[in-house]
Amino acid sequence: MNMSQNSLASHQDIPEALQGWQRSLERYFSNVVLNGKATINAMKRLSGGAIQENWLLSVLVQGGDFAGENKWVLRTDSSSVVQVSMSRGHEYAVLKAVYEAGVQVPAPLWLCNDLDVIGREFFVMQAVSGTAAGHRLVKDDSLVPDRSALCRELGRNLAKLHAIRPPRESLAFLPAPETDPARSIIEQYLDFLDELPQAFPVIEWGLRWLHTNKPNPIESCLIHRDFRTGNFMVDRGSVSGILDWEFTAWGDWREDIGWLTAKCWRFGNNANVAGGIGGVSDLMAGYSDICPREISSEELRYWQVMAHVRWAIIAVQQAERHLSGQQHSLELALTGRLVPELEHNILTLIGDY
Amino acid sequence: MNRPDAPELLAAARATLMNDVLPSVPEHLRYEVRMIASAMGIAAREAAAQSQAKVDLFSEVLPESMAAGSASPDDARRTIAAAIRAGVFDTPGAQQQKLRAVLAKTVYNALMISNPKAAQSSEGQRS
Repeated sequence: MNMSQNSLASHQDIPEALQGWQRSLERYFSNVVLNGKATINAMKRLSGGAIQENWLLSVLVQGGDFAGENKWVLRTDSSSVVQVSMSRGHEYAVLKAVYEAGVQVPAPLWLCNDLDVIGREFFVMQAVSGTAAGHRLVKDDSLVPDRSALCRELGRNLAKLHAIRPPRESLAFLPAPETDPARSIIEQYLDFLDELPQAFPVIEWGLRWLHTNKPNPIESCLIHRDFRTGNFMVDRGSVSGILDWEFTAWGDWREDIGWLTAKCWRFGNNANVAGGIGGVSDLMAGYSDICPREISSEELRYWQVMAHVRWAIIAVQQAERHLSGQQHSLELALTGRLVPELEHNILTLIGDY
Repeated sequence: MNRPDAPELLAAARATLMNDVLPSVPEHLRYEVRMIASAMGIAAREAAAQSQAKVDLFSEVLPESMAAGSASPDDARRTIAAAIRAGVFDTPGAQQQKLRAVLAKTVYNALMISNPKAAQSSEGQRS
C-alpha cells in the first residue's frame, strides 16, 4: 500500500463508478461522526494492494467532533478477492490493539460490517502523510536525513508491538500461539511445497537447514509478519505510520527482525542491513529503549534464512496462480522469476555458495 | 534457421519499447511497460540458453535413484527434494558436498537467466 500521492484535487473528483458509494458513505459518515454532516469532496484509489483496496477520501464535516476537512483512508477487500489473509474486521481489531499499545499506525476510526453501505466490509482510518516507496527511502537522503534515528524509531515500534502478549480477548480470532513457532512454520511451508506441481530442491534444502538448526522456542508475542521497507510510511525522516497488518499473528519476535533485515527487502542498498535504511545496531538500540533485548548474529542469520524461504515460497505460489490460470498477471508471472535470487540468498546465508 | 533468432528479435522489440514507446507512456502505465521489458529480457536470455546442452545435474547426486537418462528434469527435482526432506544429506560428507555443489550450480544457471547482475556479483564473492 502506498499513500504517497495524497494531494487531492479541490474540485469534485469522484470516479463515476463510485457515485453510488458516495451517497451511502456520506450517510454513513454523517451518522458516525455524531452531530455532523459529512460531504465527500474527493475519493481516489491508492496504488498497491491487489487483495485490498485503499481509498483516500477527502471529507468535509460540518459540526460535531470532526468539523472541518478530513483525510481518511477506507480499506476494504478488493472486488476480485481470491486469497483472504484476514477479514477487515479482524485487521481493524489488530490495528486498534497496536494503536493502543503505542505503535505508530494510522489511527483506526470506524469498522463497518453493514454490507448495505458499499457491499463489503470496510474500515476507516486517519490518512498519514509521507511515502512508503522502498526504492526511494533507501537511496534518497532528503527523505531520510538521519538514518540511524529512523532505525531506532522502527526498533521502538517493533518493541511496542512485541510487548503485546497472549491471551488477548480482542484478538481471540488469531490462531492460538504455538509452543514452537519455528517448527510450526517449517511444517506449514513443507505443506505449501507439497501443494505445488513442481519440486524446489533449494527451498527444500533451506527448510532442512532451518529444521536442523532450529533455536529453542521462546515466549510468543504479537508479530507483524510483513514489517519491512515498503510497509511503513516515512514523513520528514520519521515514521508516520506502519501499514498492512493483515498477516499479524502470535509468534517469535525474531521473525520480524529477520524479515526486516533480509537482503530481499533492502531494495538494493545491501550495506544497510536494516531494510536498506540503516544498521541493525541502531534498530536494536531503539528496540532496547522499550524492551532490553539482543539478537545474536546466529539468530539473525537463522531468521533471515527463514525470511528468504518464506518469500521464495510466496513467490512460487504467486507464479502458480498465474500459471494455473487462476489469475492472469504479468506481475505474478515475473514474481516467479525472483525465486533464483532468493534461492541464491538462502544458499549464501547457509554457507553453500 | 530463423534470422534474426528469438533473442535478437526480443532484444530489438525491447529496445523499441524502452527507447521509443516508454517516454510517451502515461505515468500510471510505466510500471507495466517496465514489467513487459523485464519479461522480454528474461525470455530472450532463456531462449539463448536453451541452445546450450542441458546438463542433468541432479542425476549426478543420486545416480542409484535415477535410472540414467530416463528421469525427466521434473522427476529428478522431485527425487532430490524428497531425499533432502528424508534427511539423506544431513550428515556432512562427500554426498552432502556433491548436493551443495549441484544446488549452487543450478541456482547460478537460473540466476544467469532471471537476473544476470545478481549472478555476476556472486561470482565475485566466490572468487
